Amino acid sequence: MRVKKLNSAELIGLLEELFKEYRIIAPFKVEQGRLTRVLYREIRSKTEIPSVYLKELPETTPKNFILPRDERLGDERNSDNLDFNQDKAKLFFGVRSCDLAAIDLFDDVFLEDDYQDPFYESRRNNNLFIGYGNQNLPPNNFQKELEIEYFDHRLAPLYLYEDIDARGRDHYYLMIKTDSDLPDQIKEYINNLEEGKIDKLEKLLSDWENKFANETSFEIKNKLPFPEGQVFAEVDWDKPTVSCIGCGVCTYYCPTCFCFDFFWEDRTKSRAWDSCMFSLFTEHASGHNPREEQHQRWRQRLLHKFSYHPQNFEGKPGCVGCGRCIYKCPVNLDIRKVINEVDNTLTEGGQASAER
Amino acid sequence: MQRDDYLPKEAEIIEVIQETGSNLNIKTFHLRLKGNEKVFDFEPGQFLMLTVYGVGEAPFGLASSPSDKDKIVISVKETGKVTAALHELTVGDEVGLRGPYGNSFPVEEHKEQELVFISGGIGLAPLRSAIDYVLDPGNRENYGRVQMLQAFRSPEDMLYDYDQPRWEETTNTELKYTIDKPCEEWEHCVGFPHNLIKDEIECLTSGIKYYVCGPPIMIKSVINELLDIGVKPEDIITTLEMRMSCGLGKCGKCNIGPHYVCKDGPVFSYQELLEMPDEY
Repeated sequence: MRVKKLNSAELIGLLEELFKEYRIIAPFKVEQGRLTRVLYREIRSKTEIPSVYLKELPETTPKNFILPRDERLGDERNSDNLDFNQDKAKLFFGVRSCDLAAIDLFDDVFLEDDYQDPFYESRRNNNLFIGYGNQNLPPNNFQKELEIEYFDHRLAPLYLYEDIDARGRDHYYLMIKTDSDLPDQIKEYINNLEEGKIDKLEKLLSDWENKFANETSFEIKNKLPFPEGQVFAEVDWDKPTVSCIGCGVCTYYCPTCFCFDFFWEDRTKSRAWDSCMFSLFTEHASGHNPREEQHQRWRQRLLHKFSYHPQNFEGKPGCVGCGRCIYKCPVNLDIRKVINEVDNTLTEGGQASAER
Repeated sequence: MQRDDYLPKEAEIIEVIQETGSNLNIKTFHLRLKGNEKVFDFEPGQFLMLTVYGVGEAPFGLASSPSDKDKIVISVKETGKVTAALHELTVGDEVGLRGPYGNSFPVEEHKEQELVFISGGIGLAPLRSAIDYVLDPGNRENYGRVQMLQAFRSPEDMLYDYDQPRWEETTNTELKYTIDKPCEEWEHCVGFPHNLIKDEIECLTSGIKYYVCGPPIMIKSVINELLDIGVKPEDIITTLEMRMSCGLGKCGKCNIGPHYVCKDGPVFSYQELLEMPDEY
């Protein structure tokens, strides 16, 4: 492992080198009417590079490029033009560790042994991730409770840290865990950067972590997976979720929600994201619906992430604690409060699964 | 059939049978994959995903015995968008098929046992794959007595009248029919199946397995009656329906607790259902 120190100009220089070799997907500040949003999008020309905006957690995640919001399944296989047939590898730049953990979770689902989704696999091939962190904990973040580290993830061989308050070459640190997959000219560019001290970076990151620890008090008291039968039946699901209007925004911004539907237009089959927050998600043609009420759909979303998914995937939670669903919810419904309700029910019942 | 794909293979409708009488709402379709004379391998109780191009895709239980290699058989009740469009199609029309998906009826495990098949309406369709398999001359001697109770709304709603003589004539097999309300010239039972089980079926409590399929309310009342008689939950087998898109445990729609009906089902024993959240 090595550390390099960069100023803003050198970071732009690095991105310019990377742009020659990769299709780069990075966060940008985008004006949409009166709204300013931070979204991932592909860098289209070199002149856009200085506009890459890293400081805030982007509203969207790399999910949009790996499992697109809608995709034509037939076309992808047959056309040379489309996305994954292009030669250049995709580089996702400036990705937070919680969003990297979400890609790990997608790999578990779509590349598991019993069925490998060929469309997902094609988009997921040839991806490089460069991670990112700074001293600001994104709003509502609770990834630490899900045992996701703030400043590292195994999917990213390189990690960029930005000390927002520092100037010059103390502003950016690039941690290089391995550069073996990088083209030579990029290795060379990195080699020519000023060497940094690992212990100094480690001290900085541990200061930031300590600061974060004071900024979040949320705890998941019971061990995951939540015991499904008890939680399903005993929690008063209506109470914490009654304000839900069923808009599904939480699931559309969620980096780990992967549920989808198919649509047909003549002979073309498309896939689009779907949401368990909608009644049509489960309604049978006969009209029977296993989840008639909104609080039942909330129960599904919460139990899928904190009980069913961990049961099916070696204890790994189906949530990465990024906080987006809390921030985006139009009625301020906070998933942490619903988790608290589950925790309280389990504890009061005297049958709490082993406390953490 | 290539298993690892969301995209269906083209198939052709080779025969359409109008099953029900005046209300015309159930048809049986015989299908064949294009370029394939033989039917793919499957097990009784599995299902396929059928596409009506331009309209949509839905799961249908395979309704023939796996030993029938000439045709793929499904029976379809006109209920929603896809089934309505399918009912408009006729011999020679193209549909898309993929599968087979899901687990299967445990007919192999249940060799040497007596079997009871209790069906309500179109619920007979998935059971037919197991019935025809068990009654197949090549397999019949592997199983004990077979009793069947087939419930329909009215004589007009009966399915598979062309199978009845064959089923009735198979050795050591008893077949009873019932309809909801009495009507003229009906010589069989009348009433809901759960009310008839005790009188019409010799309900043993060991060495016997019960296969139940029909509308949810019928399944629940029949199971309650069987439990009342003393049948063990693990000896009751049923098959569930759910809205689903992929059939492969990915799309996230058909779960009951941590289990996906498409992948871990659609066949469950009542014992398994007891251990799952009541959300189906």
